[in-house]
Amino acid sequence: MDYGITDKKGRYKLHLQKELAYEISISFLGYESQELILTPQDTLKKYNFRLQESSTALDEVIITQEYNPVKIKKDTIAFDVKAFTNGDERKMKDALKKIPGVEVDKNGGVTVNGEKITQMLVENKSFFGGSTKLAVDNIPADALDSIEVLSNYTPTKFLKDVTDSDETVMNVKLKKDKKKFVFGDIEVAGGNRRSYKLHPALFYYTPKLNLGYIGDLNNVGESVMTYEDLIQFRGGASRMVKDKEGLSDLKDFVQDNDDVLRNKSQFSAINYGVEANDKLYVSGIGLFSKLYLQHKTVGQNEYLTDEIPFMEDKETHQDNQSLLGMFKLKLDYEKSEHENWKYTFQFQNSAHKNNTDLTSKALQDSTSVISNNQTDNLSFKHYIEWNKAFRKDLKNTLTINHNYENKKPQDLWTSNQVFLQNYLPWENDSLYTVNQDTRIKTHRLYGLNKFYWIINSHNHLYFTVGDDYRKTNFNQTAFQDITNGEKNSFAQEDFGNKMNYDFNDAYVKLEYKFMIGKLTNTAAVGFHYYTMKTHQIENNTSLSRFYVEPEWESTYEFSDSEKLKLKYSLENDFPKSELLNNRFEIRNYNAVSRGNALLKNERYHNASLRFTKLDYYSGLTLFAFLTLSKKTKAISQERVFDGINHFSIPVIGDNPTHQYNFMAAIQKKIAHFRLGFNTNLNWYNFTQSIDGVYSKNEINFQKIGAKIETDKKSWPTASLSYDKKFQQYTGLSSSKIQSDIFKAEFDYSFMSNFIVRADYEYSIEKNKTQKHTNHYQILNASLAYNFKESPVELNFSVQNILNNKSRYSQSISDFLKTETRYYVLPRIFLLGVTYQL
Amino acid sequence: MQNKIYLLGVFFMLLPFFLQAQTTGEVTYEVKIGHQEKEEEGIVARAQKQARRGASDLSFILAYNKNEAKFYLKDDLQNKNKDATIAAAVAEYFNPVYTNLKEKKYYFHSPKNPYDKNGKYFIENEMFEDWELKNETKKIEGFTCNKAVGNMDIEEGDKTIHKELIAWYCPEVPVSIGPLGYGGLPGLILELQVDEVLYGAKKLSLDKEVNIEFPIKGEKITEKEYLKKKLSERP
Repeated sequence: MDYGITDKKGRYKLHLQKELAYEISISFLGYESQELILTPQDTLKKYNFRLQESSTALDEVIITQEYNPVKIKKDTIAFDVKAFTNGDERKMKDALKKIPGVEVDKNGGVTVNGEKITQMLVENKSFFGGSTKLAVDNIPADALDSIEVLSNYTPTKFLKDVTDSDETVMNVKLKKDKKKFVFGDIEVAGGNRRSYKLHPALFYYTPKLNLGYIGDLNNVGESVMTYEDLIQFRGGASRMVKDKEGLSDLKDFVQDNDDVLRNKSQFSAINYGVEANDKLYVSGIGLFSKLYLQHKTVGQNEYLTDEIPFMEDKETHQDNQSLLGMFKLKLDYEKSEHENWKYTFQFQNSAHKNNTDLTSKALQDSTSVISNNQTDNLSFKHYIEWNKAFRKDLKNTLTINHNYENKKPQDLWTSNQVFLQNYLPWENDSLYTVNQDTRIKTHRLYGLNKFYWIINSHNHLYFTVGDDYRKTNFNQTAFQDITNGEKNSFAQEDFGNKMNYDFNDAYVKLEYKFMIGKLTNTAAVGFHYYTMKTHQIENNTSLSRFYVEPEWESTYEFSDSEKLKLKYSLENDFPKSELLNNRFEIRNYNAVSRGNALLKNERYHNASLRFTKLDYYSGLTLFAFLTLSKKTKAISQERVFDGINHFSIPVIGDNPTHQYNFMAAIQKKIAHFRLGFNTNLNWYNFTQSIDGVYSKNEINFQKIGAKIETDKKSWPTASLSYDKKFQQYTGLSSSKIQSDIFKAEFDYSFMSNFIVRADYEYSIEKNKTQKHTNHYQILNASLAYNFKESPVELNFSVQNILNNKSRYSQSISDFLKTETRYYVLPRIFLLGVTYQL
Repeated sequence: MQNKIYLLGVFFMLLPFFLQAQTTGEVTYEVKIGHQEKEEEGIVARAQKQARRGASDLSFILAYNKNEAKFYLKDDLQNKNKDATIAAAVAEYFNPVYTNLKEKKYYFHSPKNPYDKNGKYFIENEMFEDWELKNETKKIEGFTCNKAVGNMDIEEGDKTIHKELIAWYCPEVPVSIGPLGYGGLPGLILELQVDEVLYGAKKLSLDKEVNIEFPIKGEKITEKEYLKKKLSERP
């Protein structure tokens, strides 16, 4: 929107952009206003408006309108919960679903007007680390007073103008009913096949202190947390630093585990927050989880390593046992309105045991191997952060982070026959057992200081000085356990590793952010001095590099609801210690690898373009995202095969790797329905060496989907969706797979005490090259009845009504196509009672 | 997407009659005091309650001509009850506000206080200009008004006072002013909300001739200097 003023003679001049449509409105007191619509095709150069006198006399106007002040708070939407609910709601998610624009998905994710809620606060304080799932599943609906949604959230208010935050936070305000400081509920259920579920959730809130407890015992495959929750629990790093580290070791804790034969889960977590005084807030989490899983899979691997691929039939039985204990302490000290300190300490200890019985049949060979893995992992992370605004235009952030991890994977493979025959220096025995013990100790110390200078509201300058230091101590031994008690060390044959790894990245970064009209740009340049040193048994390496890393970001805001964002960066990624070990390591019953101490950094260009339109009022949301990534120097694995056994070594080459990805989703409200389409297209090409032959490889993936949902409060909530996925591989050989997935969900409250829910999934997996098809279907349903004016709710549910035995999935990696059938939990009837405090 | 452009007429030559109509006039505003996001308890809450009561007794006049404007309380505050006095203070009105539209500055005499008994300073302020024009419109008594919002930061010593502004201006009345010293929008501000205080136009006299005289009394001082002085002179 813009405006112009005519000169005294009534002349005007407008600078309009080509290819845009305009609506020009002219107004003057005492005259009827007029409008002129210009379409991009118009070539109009001159236009005279002739104004008509208005019929209303204007010398004196009395305004009878009532004025009402609105509650202002920028970037905030507030909802009064009772205005939308009718008292039938049990949990927070039931209440949220009734608020216009708020959606809650199956996994406990919440979106408001299409924006995903990234953190959940209760009374302005983080709730169980900010988990939306734990909040919407556990907070009773009748404890809610109002809900606020804060967009562009930053925990440090005075840094708001200098932080680009994509975070949208939901803050729950509790009812001020003084008697009801304790709230919560407990759910107990039992069913056939000795299935059970116990789920207490209790909360205690006072202005100075809040406590929360969530417990869970079940053997029906339900997980209490999501992956995101666990990431937030672990969140042991300052927001100022990028922390890319994954969570592979803890994945089991967060998956809904119904792809299992048996499952037993115990979970207990407490959340605490104490306002020590006006300035200091102490909060944290304590968590304990124990999980037992039994898996059975039957599958087929297709090795795409030759022009004629060969097959391996594989069957596994797995027993998993995981234990996790975690503790987190957070101190927030608000020294003044312009200065704060934060300190977070997180300690974690986990033990993971896995026992796999594996049978593999390939070519003429059949191998049975029992593998045992036990990994103990102890780690802690802590950081300190200091934020200060010296003046309105000069601000600063300092943070120092320290992480420590001590990980001890112990692997044991046993078979009655020799496996990895040409790789391992076996001694003859009746039972072949190989042992590999690894110890990895890592320290990481990283810190930065960022200085913000707000030149004026349209020009900002940021200056960062930082350092990232890592030290890894890697120790590995591999040996054969001979039945007579002797050990046959493989060290002579170059197995086992001992390495000290040091990496340092010292950098300064300059960012200039400037606004031109609706266009916001950030130009940044980083000057990095990298050093990497390894100290190993056979040799030492050291590498130092100086790199200039530019970055550019532009955002064009067409309006509040429509945005286009362009991003570009040139980055360098240095190999981690596990890629640099220059002696052999056993990866699996059929794989041996070696690192490469001569690896250097990968260099890559990243570009992305993102368009979003969230027009909640017209019911249209549109999202399109294009990313391009090009590695000019890429690390790839050179593989050498011998039947199903293979050896791999990472190499760095000048063969560029490209990856393109396009995602788009559109959703539109039509009458009382919401109609959505989405697509995801991915191209990935890279060069790889297999058995000494270099080949160009391509892995492409396409997905298209459609979904229709009801969108009327008085109707049942129902949705239908269909997704189709294709995947192709071309390299030395080629392969194609595709799948079709239909899903239906239904949720209906009737007669004010009954709630019925059901979900159904039908999936077809096709293997194009082998011309065979697999399908499976899963149906779950539940019926709940709540007694009016009583805290009791009855719930009857049936999981896997069709008593489907297995789920089926297929995937393609850089040399392997796998088809796997997972055995799933059988039909379970559960009858339960929920009692609300 | 369509881009909307507002074109405001000035039409001096064509419409000599409106020459006067559009450059001089008078607007009457009422004030309403809403609720704060965080309503404190005790004395502040009591004062707010009193102010809300007293606000109904206040009526302000904005008189303007081509270059100047004056915003003042219709009747002298002296004649009002205590609630009205508190309301005026909450609404941040102390003394008549004079605006120089050409220089985009506004002035008022410093409020009387224990260490400045006569209100000896004539404080010069810059007009707020950082408006963000929004696409939203609403009708106020048949006038189409557009929304503009602003964030204002005032530094007082080591404290920053933050104010949120919402203005509804009317392009059909092409004068760039509004209540207190606010203006700078392409149209008369009919409704202005500064934090929880709302000024709303009740009566427009658009061809009324007004005479504005800038006072000469008082020591001219910028707002910044005044705030500094105020802090240092505080006993």
